[in-house]
Amino acid sequence: MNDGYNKSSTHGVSWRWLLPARLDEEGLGQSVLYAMIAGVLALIFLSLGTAFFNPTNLVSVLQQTPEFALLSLAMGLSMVSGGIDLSIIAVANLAGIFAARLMTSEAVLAALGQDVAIGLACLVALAVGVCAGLLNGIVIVRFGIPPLLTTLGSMMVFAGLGTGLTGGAGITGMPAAYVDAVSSNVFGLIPASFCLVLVIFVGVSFFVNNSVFGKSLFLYGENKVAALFGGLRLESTILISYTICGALASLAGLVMLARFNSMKVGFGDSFQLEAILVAVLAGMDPDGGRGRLLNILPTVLLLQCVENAFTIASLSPFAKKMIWGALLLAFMALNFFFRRMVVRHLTALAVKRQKAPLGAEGSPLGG
Amino acid sequence: MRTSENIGTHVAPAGVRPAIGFVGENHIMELLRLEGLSKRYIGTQALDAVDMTIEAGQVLCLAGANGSGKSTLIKCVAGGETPDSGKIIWQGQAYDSLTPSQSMALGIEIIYQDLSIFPDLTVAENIAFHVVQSRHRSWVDLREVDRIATKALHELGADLPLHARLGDLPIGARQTAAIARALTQDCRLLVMDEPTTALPSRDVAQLLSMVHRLKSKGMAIVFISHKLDELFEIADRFYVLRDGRKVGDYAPAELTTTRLSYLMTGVEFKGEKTQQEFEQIATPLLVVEDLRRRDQYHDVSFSLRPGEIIGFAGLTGSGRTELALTLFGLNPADAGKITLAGRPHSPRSPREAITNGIALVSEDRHGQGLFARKAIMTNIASSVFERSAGRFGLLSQASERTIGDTWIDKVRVKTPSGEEPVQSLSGGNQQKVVLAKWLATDPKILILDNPTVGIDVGSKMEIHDIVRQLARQGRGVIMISDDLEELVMSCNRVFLMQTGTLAAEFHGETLTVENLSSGLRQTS
Repeated sequence: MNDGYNKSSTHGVSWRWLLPARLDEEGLGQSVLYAMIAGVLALIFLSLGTAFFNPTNLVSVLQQTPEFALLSLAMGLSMVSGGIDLSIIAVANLAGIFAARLMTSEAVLAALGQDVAIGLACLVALAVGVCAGLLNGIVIVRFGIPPLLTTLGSMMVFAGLGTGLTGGAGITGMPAAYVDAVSSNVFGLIPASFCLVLVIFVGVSFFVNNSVFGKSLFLYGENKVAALFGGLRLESTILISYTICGALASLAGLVMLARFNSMKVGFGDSFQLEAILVAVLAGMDPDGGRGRLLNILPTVLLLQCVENAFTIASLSPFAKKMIWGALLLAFMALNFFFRRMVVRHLTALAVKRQKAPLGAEGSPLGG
Repeated sequence: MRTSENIGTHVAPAGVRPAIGFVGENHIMELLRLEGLSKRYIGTQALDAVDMTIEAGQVLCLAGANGSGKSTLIKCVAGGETPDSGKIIWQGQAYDSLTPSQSMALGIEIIYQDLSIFPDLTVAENIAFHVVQSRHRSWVDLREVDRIATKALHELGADLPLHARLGDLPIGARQTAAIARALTQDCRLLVMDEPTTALPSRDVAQLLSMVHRLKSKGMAIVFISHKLDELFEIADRFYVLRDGRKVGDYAPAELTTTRLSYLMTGVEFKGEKTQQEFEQIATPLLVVEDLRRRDQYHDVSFSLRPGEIIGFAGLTGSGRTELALTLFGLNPADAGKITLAGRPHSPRSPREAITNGIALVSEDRHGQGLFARKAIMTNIASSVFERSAGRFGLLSQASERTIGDTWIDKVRVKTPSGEEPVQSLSGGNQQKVVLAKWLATDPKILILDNPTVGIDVGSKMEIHDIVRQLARQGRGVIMISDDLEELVMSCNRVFLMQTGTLAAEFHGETLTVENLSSGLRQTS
């Protein structure tokens, strides 16, 4: 792009290769994350070797990931605007309950046949998720209630609805065709549900990065007042973001339904806080405006690998949470130190730039 | 925290506080000296090797335009900012920087414009707050609170109802309480940041007499105000800052208001207009008739023709910004009529105003104009996202870059690439990005609210050039500014706004800095 800017590596200490192409906070957080993933995987390899790194085990890691990944993506997306969605688990449960009811109803199966009934159940579940997300969005936009409170309230409402529909009991005995379809492997290797997750991650992140909606969402998260003064379409943007969250949550519900072959209010409650952890670990700024949604997938896989490794090493499952928490804290601390370094670097650079005529001084910031 | 042992050389023995004001034979005591103080933020050199001396029993008026570094200087003294280099010398004891509690312990008190009071506490509680808090006791003795407050008010020669809720009292009383609170802390140096801006004129006189009283007790006072006539009334010395550098230190006798405003802005008024060259087209772009909004402005009528630049001068709170926000759809008028290009215009959101061809470069660049951590190109393209999007509302990085690069080139933003975060730019270049963002929407009317606040002289001139070019293209420009030179240089007509209404119009021969500033003085 600009020849003059890449020459800076010729003088001074050459540590640039350690850093991302663009030396900003976002790129830095991403580097720290991937370095951490590499480190953890190396540790696992050294301690467990092929007991962990064998095809069967790796496939089982992929199989355990999908619902967690979808819920974390929903959480991450809600954070882009500086909000949060606490209702995702309740929505996943509610959507799963609707689908389970339809799939296990003799009357529906008799009237439509199994395949159509399953398809209908999935569509209804998705519709439940979309409506729930839309409801969250409307309350946030129209009544100006903070997302934290809105989704806390709606979480309780959705959980209550689910309890009312089931009487608190679990619905079991899904059609084998549905369970098999979700847990089947593509090419006999990669779980179908993981392929779905992959497609959704790529799709959502492409859409968010390249659409007016996504760009407006990030800018809103960065500076709400400037977004208003800049005439961005705010209401519909927020509405769409929570609607997508709801839809993702309902998909997670559908995956959970197949994996557990049952559905109940309260399934996967622990994902709630874990999804927040993943989103922050993946570099989503809880204050909004920053982060790359695509980074959420490797982060989920990292945590799943750690959990799996613990199981193989037959360590206490309670240690899992402790390690996850420690990872989060370590990541935050590393980020803090590196960020301070970058800010100093930027300030020094600004001084240099002001002294030297433009173009004469190389910028390590150049892409 | 500092103990009295390490007070500088010319001070009384340990444990004894020296008499304020005079030490030895008529030697005026130097209280605070700043040596080579520098502070840089990303993008701007806020303070550049500033030297300053403050003596006990003196009122020092700190003068400078917006962005000249006054507030950074105050923050360094108050401990809110850490200077990059230089020394803060308090009574002979040198510090590299101060913490807020250190600064208070030394006896430095700052009264900010917002007064930092607690509106829900009583007058007495507000005044005694620091004393009570510093005692670290679990319980508050309300009688002692009253005693402290009474003493402080007596010292100030003021009288306030001790048990009234402070938020219920008028602004003047709130300010008195804030000053009284400063006195409870053995204050040696009192800094008042624009204390008179929000004050009705009868309260100004009272405030100035309080300042005299404090001064006669040996306190040093740093007074910051935009109202030059007030400064001349109380100043013992003037200290002028411009673009983060010391311009000079003057006795009041050496200065006049005109000379002072020249020193502050660095622009000598030449009496020659740059802006007379276009023909006026008969149909106005914008007509505003009898516009009114409760408590903000009333009876506002004016028109704007294509190619015209009109200015609004006035004090903060005179309704200028509120009027601009109304045109921009953020502050709907209660009554009156706005006609835009022949059609009624009453926007309910900035989106609607922007669609109708209005753009607003707001005064608060960081809060309202920019997405600081985002790329320059994203900032510029944000105003035209929808217009430039393709199918399904998709907008590629490439088209964002094209828009960004085009405008970076047109308004000459100095940057190695459009991908740099906008916060890495200097103030002037940031403002050019804001301008570019709005120019990309091809506005018919451009509203500029203090467009060159905190901007270096070079960028300032460039921005003025761009604005004049826009007018030549047949756009209408509304310029709100505190910088009278700027208004006189660029505008065809300037309205003086006073307590919510257009008090006077200046144009042609009558449009001079002198006329404007005397008009402004009458309003205060």
